[in-house]
Amino acid sequence: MKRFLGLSIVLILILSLAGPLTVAEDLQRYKDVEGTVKLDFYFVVGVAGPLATVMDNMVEQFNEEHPNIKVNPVYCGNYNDTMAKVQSAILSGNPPEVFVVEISELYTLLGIDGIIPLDKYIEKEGGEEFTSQYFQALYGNAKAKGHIWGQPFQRSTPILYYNKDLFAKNAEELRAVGLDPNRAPRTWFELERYAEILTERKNGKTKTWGLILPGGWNDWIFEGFTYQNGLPTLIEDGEVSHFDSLKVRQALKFWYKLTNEIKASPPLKPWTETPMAFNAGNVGMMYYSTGGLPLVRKQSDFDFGVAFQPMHVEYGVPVGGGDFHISKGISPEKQDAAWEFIKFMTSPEMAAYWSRESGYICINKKGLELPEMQEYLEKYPNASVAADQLQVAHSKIMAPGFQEIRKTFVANLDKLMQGKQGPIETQKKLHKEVQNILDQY
Amino acid sequence: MLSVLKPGKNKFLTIVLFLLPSLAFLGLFTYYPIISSFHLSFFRSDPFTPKPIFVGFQNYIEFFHNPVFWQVITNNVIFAVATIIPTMLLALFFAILIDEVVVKSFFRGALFLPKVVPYAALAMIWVFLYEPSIGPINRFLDLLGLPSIGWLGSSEYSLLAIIITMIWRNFGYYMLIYLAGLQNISRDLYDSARVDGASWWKRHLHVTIPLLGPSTLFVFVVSIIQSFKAFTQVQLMTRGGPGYSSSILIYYTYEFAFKFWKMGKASTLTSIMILMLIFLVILAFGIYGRRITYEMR
Amino acid sequence: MLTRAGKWVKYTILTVSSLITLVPFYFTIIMAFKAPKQILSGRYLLPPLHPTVDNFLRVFGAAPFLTYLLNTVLVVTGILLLQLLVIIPAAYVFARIDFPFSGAVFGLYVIQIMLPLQALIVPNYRVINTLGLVNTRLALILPFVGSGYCAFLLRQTFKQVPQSLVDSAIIDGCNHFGLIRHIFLPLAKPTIAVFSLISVATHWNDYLWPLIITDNDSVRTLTIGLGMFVQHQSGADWGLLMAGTLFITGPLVLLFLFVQRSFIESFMSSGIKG
Repeated sequence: MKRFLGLSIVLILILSLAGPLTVAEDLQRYKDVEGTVKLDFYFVVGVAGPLATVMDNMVEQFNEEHPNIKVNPVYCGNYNDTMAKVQSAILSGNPPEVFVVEISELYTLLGIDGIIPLDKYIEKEGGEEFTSQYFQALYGNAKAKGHIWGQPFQRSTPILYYNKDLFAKNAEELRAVGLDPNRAPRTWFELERYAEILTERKNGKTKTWGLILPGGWNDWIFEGFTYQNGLPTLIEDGEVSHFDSLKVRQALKFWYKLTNEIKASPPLKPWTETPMAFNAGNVGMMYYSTGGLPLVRKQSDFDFGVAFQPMHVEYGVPVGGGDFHISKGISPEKQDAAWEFIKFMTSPEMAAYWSRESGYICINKKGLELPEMQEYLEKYPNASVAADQLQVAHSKIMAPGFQEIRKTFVANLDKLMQGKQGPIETQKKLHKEVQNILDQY
Repeated sequence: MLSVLKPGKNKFLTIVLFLLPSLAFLGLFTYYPIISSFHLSFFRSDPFTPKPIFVGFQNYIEFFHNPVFWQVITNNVIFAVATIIPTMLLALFFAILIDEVVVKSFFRGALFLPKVVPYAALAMIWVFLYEPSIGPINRFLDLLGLPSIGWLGSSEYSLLAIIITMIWRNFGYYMLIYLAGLQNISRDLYDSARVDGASWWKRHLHVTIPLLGPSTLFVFVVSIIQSFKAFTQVQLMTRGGPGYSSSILIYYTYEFAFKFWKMGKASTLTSIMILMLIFLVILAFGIYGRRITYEMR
Repeated sequence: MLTRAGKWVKYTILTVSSLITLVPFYFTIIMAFKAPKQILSGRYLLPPLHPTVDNFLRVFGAAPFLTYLLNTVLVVTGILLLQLLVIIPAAYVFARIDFPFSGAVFGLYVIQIMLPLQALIVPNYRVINTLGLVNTRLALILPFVGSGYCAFLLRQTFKQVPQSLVDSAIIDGCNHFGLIRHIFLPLAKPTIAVFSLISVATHWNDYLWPLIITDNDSVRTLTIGLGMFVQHQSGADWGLLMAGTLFITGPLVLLFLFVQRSFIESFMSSGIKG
């Protein structure tokens, strides 16, 4: 039958499209055509994110300025997905040459022997002189075992956003208890009062939430509360859990109070929906990454402010975000080219451009001095809060098996925030489970 | 050359030649994987143990002592039961209704349409419907004076929220299966039941439902398998959360494999999943077995 | 005989239920044509007065959805064609040739129906990895080729072909290939159509397998592209999401509306025989 023959022909056509196309891609990847070094760059952002375009522009400029290197950006979705992709690529022996993943993954990357130290490159660029142009607080998560393994790039700290209009609306009540409606709370005590006053209920329904402690990355936000309570670190050297500290318990108790006793925060608002909820205008304050700034700026039609996160014993937040890494098992030429790329992306101009577009910290101090950055900061004074907060920032927790730790961390906080589990039980479980995971390695 | 494949000649060669391609695919992507996952389930294999170490039943024992594992299994059972029963009842109910009215095609089409929606799209649509502050469902509840529900963000409701989406998508399909089954039932049976004075309910209870046994078996088996496949909604709507409240076995396995990269433990979970599936399917055929054999031939 | 009241009740129940079932579609469509501000304000319940196609433009601007579409089409047709190619001869053997243990061998195909690939992602990932096919379209196709379901349906159909037809073709000098081409396939056309619709609808929907096996825009499929939409770091932009949702659902819904009859009949018959 002719049709059957036709069928087979179509089939062959399709297979030729499906097969060789990718083989050709692979060949291109490994054979440097005419001396061009090709680099795959795995990057954290959804394909649809507005940041994908920004990143495209930056990579394009790099490719133009470096005719012998061609970087191919691959967008891998959020931090979890990107790490999964990078891990699978490394373990299957086919790593991307250069990538950005969440800073807490460093020990896992070292565990699977996937990256090279950057010391020799940094040395070549002038050592301290080179690193001193970056905020030093950011290197905390890039260092381990006496080496520097990552170059800070897409970095943030969580900040406190507040709705000035709502503050003004509640001015009288706030003044009545001695609070200033023109500024954000500075201490946990004040935070609680503000949140309580701003929360507005009608017929048992909450019309206005005092604040949002978002879900999804509540582990990161909570980490800040332990630092504000004076804890130096939650996990020491990737080995010892300090979740049993009294300071953790107090922070858990405070969260329990905010979410379950005065019910000032909606339970577990998904991370991606949190800025939208804040932008809708009926939320007083929001704990969120500085990366949310562009969205709030664009969408809110009220006056908003940002501030340091309130202190208890002291000010403190974890740093967050992602660093550049260079893969092991690839040729030295590729590694050198990858370093060129990293250097370019963290240069003053690029760091400043990235910061303006993304809301992340301008990691390069020289970038802050550029005229276009000065102009931008004048226009949006909010934008410098996250960087200023670096003075009081701690390194984020790092450990092998971080994904597992994060999973149980989030799961237990979820239960606490929904009132399913009291602070003491939460602490007990967290400490036990985290220490168990750490002991495996 | 093709003349060697004449009927009656070289029977053995024909059989081998005709079966080999498909058997190769089955072997490579179904049976070898099953064997290899049972094999690896006895090893410790994670990012820090690149060469798997034999640990015997340790992976199994660790799971059996892990409350999270049991929560996930419980979720899976709840998920299966709470999707299968309402879906089957709705499907049966609407099949009978449509069977009894004259204008069929619009209703059939409308109720079936959700089945055409890919799960990824379904997740997106329902995430919006469930949105707690501006989403339509909570606004509807508000209209009725009922309290808002946290849906995807609450431990009590997250699994239910996913179950509802499963029912929405699938009952129309099972309705079609039942409709097909109804066509095989002789009208005479109803007529004689009616002569006996049986009411609408009685007629269906005593005539329709027993005779739809084969369809029910099919629906049951397909839904069981479905409940082990429901990854997309979990990943896109709740990521198994809050906590582990909407984690089901397939999602839990995915996390061990592709998030924690613990291939040994992920293989253990895969093996457990295979055993559960086989057990359930055998059970289903055991219950209905005899009645179905005639139908399946 | 139906009483008048009974008839009314039935139609009312059916109409209301159908409308409820269709509500999610309604929201998807209207939201896709609305500007973000309209949605955020919460006043989105009615169709937009000034519909905007801006969301669709942004969808195409933000992600290579046409590439995704092409990939999806390639993958689903590739799966279907290969399935038919390898399964037709097998089904023929099971239906028409007696050999020892044929029942047991056929059992291997039936068991496969009960073991969805989703359950086997972990070992299958390792197989594909060993073959060096991670991140290729081929990897999206191969694991689905050995379809037990297809074998099941076709064997049923082939069994019903009258032996007299076969005998006379043999006298005319047909070999097995000839028999399949001239006798079995033409008679199995309806079954093949049924299976094709089901196969396409199923694999258009695949998510988990492509999710773990692809990490590159050039091989990603529509469902993965849509999944990536929700997961960017900040902000759920409902208009944009719904536009994307509409784009990946549209082709299937249109296919359904055009061939509703055969679609419905396919799915109806999927049960009796499967």
